This record gives sequence, structure tokens and C-alpha cells, in this order.
Amino acid sequence: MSGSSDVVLAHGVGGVQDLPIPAHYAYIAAATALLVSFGVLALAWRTSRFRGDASGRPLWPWLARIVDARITRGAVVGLGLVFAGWIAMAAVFGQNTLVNPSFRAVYVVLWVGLVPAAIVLGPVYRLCSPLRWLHRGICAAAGIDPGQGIRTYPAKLGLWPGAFFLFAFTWLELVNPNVSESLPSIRLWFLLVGAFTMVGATVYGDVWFENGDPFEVYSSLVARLSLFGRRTDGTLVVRNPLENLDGLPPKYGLVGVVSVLFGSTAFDSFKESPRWLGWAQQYSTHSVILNTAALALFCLVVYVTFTLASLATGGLGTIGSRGLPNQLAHSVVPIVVGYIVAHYLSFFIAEGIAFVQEVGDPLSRGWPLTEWADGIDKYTIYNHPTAIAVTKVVAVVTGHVLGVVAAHDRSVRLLPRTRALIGQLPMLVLMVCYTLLGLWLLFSS
Amino acid sequence: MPGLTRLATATSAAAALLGLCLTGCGSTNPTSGAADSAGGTGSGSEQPATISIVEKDGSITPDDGHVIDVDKGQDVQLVVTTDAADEIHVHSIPEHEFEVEAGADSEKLPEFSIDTPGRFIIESHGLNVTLVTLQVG
Repeated sequence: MSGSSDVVLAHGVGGVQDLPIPAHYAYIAAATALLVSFGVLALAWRTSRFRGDASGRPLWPWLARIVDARITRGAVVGLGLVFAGWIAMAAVFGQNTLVNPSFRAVYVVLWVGLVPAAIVLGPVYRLCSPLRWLHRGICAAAGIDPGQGIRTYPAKLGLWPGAFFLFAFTWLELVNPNVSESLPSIRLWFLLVGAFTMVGATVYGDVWFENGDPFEVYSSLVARLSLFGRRTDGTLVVRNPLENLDGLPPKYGLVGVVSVLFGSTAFDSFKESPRWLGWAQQYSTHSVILNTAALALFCLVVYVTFTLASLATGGLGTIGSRGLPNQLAHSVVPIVVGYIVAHYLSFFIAEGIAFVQEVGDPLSRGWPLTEWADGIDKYTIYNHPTAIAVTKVVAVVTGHVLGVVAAHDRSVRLLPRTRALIGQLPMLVLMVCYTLLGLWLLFSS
Repeated sequence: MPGLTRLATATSAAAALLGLCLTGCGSTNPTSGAADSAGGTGSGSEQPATISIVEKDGSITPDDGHVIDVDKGQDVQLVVTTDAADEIHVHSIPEHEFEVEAGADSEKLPEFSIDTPGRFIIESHGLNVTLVTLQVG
């Protein structure tokens, strides 16, 4: 672990890129995606089956009791807060070198690790969120109800603040020219966003967190693909992830959140491609403007295409066409998550190991807490290119299939019976396009 | 919910089939061809890959980051001509850093090889420009 000072950092940290997936992997995956898509359209059920939050089988009572026990939740919260405090100590008092664990804590553990955590355990970020606990503490000290704000949160604002701050984070990760070894930029970002979040919570009450805290918004979204969930009355259930996903509330701004997540990840892949790199380098004095514009364009293209495809379903009936994009946006979540798995898989394993190695010495004083991990070769995963490529392709295709099924079920529920099949076509074609774009980026970038 | 169960079974079967098919095909494709040479010591028999770098008046070629394929374990040699002192960094595992002095004329830098599959960039540290991308595997 030499603190080499100028390693080029892909997505915040890490220097290796995966090999492109072999061409025939991409072809097989694309063919599978196409076949399944139209197979679903032709063969699947014609009346909606998913029941959202009402679905699922209650967890065994003894297990539910353990999960909901004060001591279990207290332990998880305690761990989360100690971890956050430890990283904050490294960020504030640690040295500005690459081995400062706060970089990997942010770009690897928080940003990428949040996805598997949410899929396995559900919305854990919400439970451990340091800002939520800070807000709760302040409210308790002042004798105020944390749910109580100065104003009522406007429903039309919905998840838009979350989408905005997610975009701000991807900018920090992908565009910020000082990303390598720039502790000050991480400090400044978290200070600003943290302050803004606390102001939001003060004005609107703690409803702000579920709409405006980017990490909670992201975590709660991905948690909808978990096998575990809760009914509206709080009962813990095991359920089909597709039914879980069906329960995602179609809030305003949901399309915005999904667009930022998908657009930014696609941009990250695209940005690493030698073609873009060579081209952008000619304009290196304007690289921030160029990359900001490209990042925004990727997100915008997803937003516009998705909105248009939703409107093209033409279903009106009870909800009116303006609500349609957010009603269908849940179906892009599996596609996004599948692509995120493909994009970050090897990075997460390699840099996760590096994080464990450095987290025991947050202030660069030679603390030996995680010395036991020093012997692990963080790059082992890169010696298995075939396994990486297969996992990527399976993740993308699985995400696509789940997305298509979710969209189908929602469509047969919302659209008039006569148009239920034909109305789905634009959305289906768009999903195929998204998946082909993802495969193309994995294969040719 | 028999429909859902059937759907889940079908989906996982499809995924498993896809994975099987891919790994099956994998044994005949070039990616795993590289893995064959990993065990051997055949790297010496191959020609080293030579990459010429010319730096003049603050600009450098190549500067487009284009991809150069090299085999696992194949020797790579950078040949540098420059009118300014610079550092050339190879962001491989482990990293290689070479210092070149002003006035170097077709100077051959020490050979190196990469054993980890992946893509690695070679960069001029002085000009902060990505020169080429090495693709190993």
C-alpha cells in the first residue's frame, strides 16, 4: 500500500478497468433479452397479478421478533453510527492521501455497497442514517415531534430533491477534476449536502429524508428488489421481489431518480472508453464543462425517452396520461440495478478489499486494526475475466427480464383491455434499447 | 400464486441456461486462450510490444488513448523521444513509473510485462495526457 500520489481514478477510486465482454456474449444476451421480451408480451397473464405491499408470506414469528427486537435494531443503528463516525474522523482529521479510508468509504462502501445491502436487508440506510439520528436528537432535545415541520411537504416536489442530490453526487464522482486525493472536495460536498438536508428536515419535518436524502432515496428504491419487505401495517414478509417492486409508490420525480441513476452509470462506462477519452482530451481545458454536459445529457436522454414511451402507451382511464411515467418508472429499477451490478462488480470486490485494508488506520498513524487483511491480493478478481463477463451478462439480462415483467403487469392493470398489449409496445421497445445500449457499452467501450 | 412460481422457475432456468451457454462458449473463445499461457513460461518467445512516444513543444503523440492489445506476460517496451523531462506512468498492477530526461532520442525504457487481465492506461505525468490503453488478456 504505497500512497502513490497520482493514480488515475476510475469512478472515484481504483485504476483497473475490466476487459470488454466478448462479442458473442453480447449477441447471446441481446437475443435472450429480445426473445424474453416478446415472449412475455405474447404469453404472460392478461390481468394484473402483483399486489404490491399487500403481498408476501409473513416471516416466521420468532424471526420477525428477532428482527424487530429493540436490541437488534439498536445494534444495527449503533454499528452504522460508529462506522459513520469513524469515517468522519478519517475525513476530518486524516491525511489527504489515497489511502485515507474516506475515499473508499464514500465511493465504494456507501455508493456501491448500498445496493447489495438494500437487496439483502431492505432499506437499512434509512434505519442508520446519521442525519436522521442527528435530526431526531435535536428534535428530542427541543421537545419537538420530528415529523413536524414548519410547512407541509409539497407532494409535487416528490423525489425531485433526491434526484437532484443524486445527480450532484455522480458529478462529484465522475466529473469533479480533483477527485483523486481531494479530501477537501469530499468534505465540502458532504458539508453542503448535509447542511441542506438538515434545513430541509427542519422546514418540512423528517419526511424530507425519504425524498431528499440521496442515499436514502437510492437505498429505499433498490430495497424494493429485496425478498423481504413490510406490509403497510408493518408485518415483515417474504415476497417475490416483483411484488415488492410493485409496491413502490409512484411519487412525483421517480422518473427523475431512475434517469439519474441509469444515465450516470451509462455515462461512467462511456467516459472510460478510449474513444471518448481521446476525443475529450483535445479539449482538456474545458473537460469539466464537457463532462458535466455529457453527464447531464445521458440523464436527460433517459428521462425524455422514458417519458415519451410512457405517454405513448396511450392509456388514460383513471389516472390520466400525465401520471403514467411515474406509474411505470418502477419497472426500470431492475434494469438499472442489473446494469449497476455489471458495471461495478469487479470494482466493488477489489476496492472493497482495499477499503478493509486501510480502514483500520484512518489517520495514517500505523494503527494495526486491519493489518490481518494486508496479505489479501485485492486484484484477484481480475484474474477471472470469464467469470466477470458471464456475471455481467446474466445480471443485465436478469434485470431486463424483471423490468419487462414488471412493466407488463402494470400495463395490463392500467391500460384499457383492448389496448393492453399494443400499448405496451413502445415501452418494451425502449427497454430493449436500454438493455442493448448497456450491453454495447460493456462490449465496445 | 402458481403463475408467479412458474415465472420465477422459468426465469431462473433461463438465467442458468444463459450462464451455462456462456461459460460453455467461453472455452473456445480468445479470452480464455490467454489463460492457457498463464501457466506456461512462453512469454520469452514472443516479441516485445513496442510503443513509440514522441514529445515536442508541449504536445505528445500518441495522445488519443487508443487500445493496444498485448498478451498476458508479453514484454512491453516504451521508446521515448522528447525535448522535455517527463515521467511516463503505466497504471498497471503493479504500477511502473519511468523518468525520461530532456533530449532523449529514441530512448528504450526498461521492458515490463502485465499478468493481470484488464485495461491499463499509459500516461504522461508531465503533460497529464493519456497516451494509450493497454489491453491485456
